[in-house]
Amino acid sequence: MRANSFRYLLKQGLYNLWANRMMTLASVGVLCACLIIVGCAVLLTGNINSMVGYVEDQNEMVVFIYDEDEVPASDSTTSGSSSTATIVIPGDTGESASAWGYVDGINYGEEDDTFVSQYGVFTDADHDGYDDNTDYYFNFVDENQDGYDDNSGLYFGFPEGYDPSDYQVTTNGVTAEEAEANRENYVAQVQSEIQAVGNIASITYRSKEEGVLSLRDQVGEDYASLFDDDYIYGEDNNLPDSFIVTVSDLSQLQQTIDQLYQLDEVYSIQASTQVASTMTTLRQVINVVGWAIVAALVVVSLVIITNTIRASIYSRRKEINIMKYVGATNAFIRFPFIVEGICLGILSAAISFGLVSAGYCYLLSAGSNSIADGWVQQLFGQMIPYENIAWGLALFFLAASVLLGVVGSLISIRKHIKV
Amino acid sequence: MIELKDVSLKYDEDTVALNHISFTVKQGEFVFIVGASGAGKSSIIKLLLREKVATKGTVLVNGYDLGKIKNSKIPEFRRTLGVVFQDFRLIPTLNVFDNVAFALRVTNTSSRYIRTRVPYILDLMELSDKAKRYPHEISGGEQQRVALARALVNDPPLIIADEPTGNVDPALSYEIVQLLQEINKCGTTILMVTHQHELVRQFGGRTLRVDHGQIVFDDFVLGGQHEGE
Repeated sequence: MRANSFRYLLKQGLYNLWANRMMTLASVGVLCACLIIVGCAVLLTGNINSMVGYVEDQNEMVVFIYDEDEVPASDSTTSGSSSTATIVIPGDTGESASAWGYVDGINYGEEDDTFVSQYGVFTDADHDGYDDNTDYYFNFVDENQDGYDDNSGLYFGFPEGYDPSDYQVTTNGVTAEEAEANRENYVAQVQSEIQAVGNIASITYRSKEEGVLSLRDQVGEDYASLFDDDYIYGEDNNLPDSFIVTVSDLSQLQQTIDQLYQLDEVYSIQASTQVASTMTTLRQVINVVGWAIVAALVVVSLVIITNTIRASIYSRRKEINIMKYVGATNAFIRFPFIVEGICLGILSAAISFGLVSAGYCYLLSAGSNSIADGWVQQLFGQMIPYENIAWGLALFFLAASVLLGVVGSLISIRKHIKV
Repeated sequence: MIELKDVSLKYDEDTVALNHISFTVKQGEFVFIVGASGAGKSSIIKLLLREKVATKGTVLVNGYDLGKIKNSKIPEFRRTLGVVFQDFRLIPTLNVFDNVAFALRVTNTSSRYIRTRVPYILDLMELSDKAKRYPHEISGGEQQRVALARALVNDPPLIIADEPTGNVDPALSYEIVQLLQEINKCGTTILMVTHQHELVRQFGGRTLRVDHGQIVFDDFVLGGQHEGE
């Protein structure tokens, strides 16, 4: 295409759009209508998909696990036997002095009734709770570890050469911190095992204490007193620890549940598999129906658009014929039509994009501002955000309409260009 | 310039448009082709314009063998002709100036040259004041002059006029043929097809008569039968 002709033909293409403006209008109108309809269908299907996906994601299952020491078929955790001397310190439960002297792992020292504790060495032959020598009550509480009893303010001191760090408080041979750490390790380990099963979208640990708290909220005020803090944090709390788990692929829910049961630590799983399978089926139906409708609309659009362009070109067949007799090459004749097709495409894409975007953004804002029920609002809140679709929409509209405009024109000319 | 050798044109087995015709037109000649409707005049034009291909024989125009020419070369060939049609065949969405200029555009002529050449031709055809008008805004006679201007603007060696006076009143017809004769005097070969025998008798010159697909007469006739007014 030589320079002279290029500019001329470019101007001719643009000029022709105006000279045949009724046909141009018809073509733009038809292109816009089809683009908008197909675009809306695509957005609708995509959004319904997303909304169902959101509902699917709400589907949680609760995986209950054994306490660490109750896990069947696994070695019981060896209680770390500390090489240091340990003793049980009675809490403020009012246990008698005799109770604490006779628990495993107590190191009495060489003579009977001599007790080594983190608060010092005491001799208590008559088991009355008072040191025989000083008559001090040694049921000290010293949480800040300053050597003074927190309650009476008495100083009880430590024996010579005594290093408090040598002595630790334990329960069942394990100190409170160790017990806490062990529990955390156990939980972390189980969590990673669950994760390793695959198809896990999210895991949230819910300790037994939190479990009871949520149960208490659910049963209401009347029965809340059944679950008082003593119960929750004490030893009677036999609710299991649990994980709230959601899966990525709901259609694999049953398989994932089966695999989770394989883990030794899993005690039971509570999941709504019925709802899950319904959701999965619904999702599949929507996909098939939705995209089938889109495909049908695309076909219809193609038919309508090609017909319109063909009519438009037909009305100019004489013009094309004349050009051939004057000696114009096929390329010379085609070029303005290509220019027209591109302009038609760009114009239609711009208009369609503007309209669909405006409508979509309006829906987005209407959804979040609506006075409707909470769940409707949440559902609308799950609409795919505009930024995600904007580029795809624009590109699709531009590509489709320019392609249709140009290809449609070229195909329609072929018949008339053969002289 | 033009050479037809033993040319036949059949549409199908039963319809024979041209039956073994031969003639030659040399550079600078002015030739009338006459005959009744359906005699074969339009078929000859179609062959010359490469709208149809001869079923037998050779057609040579301006050095191009129309039987052997490649489709891609046909536009190039047509640019060596100037053609005037009975129905004018002007592009309706272009004004007079652009219609004439179109013939130059297809040869990739520069805008600068077009700006001088087209007004010159329009002036020749006495159309200067109609340059911005559109075909539907001017009379039939003016439209025909525009078509002639377009045929001329490229300065082709050969002009083929297919019933150029068909849609035009007698006075104008005379003028048009006069115009063609003047152009011919400048060296352009002119081939004019017409069914208006009076015109031929008025002007005289070499005349080909076609009848039932054959050339029955090819000779010079005397003009001046009716002194025009």
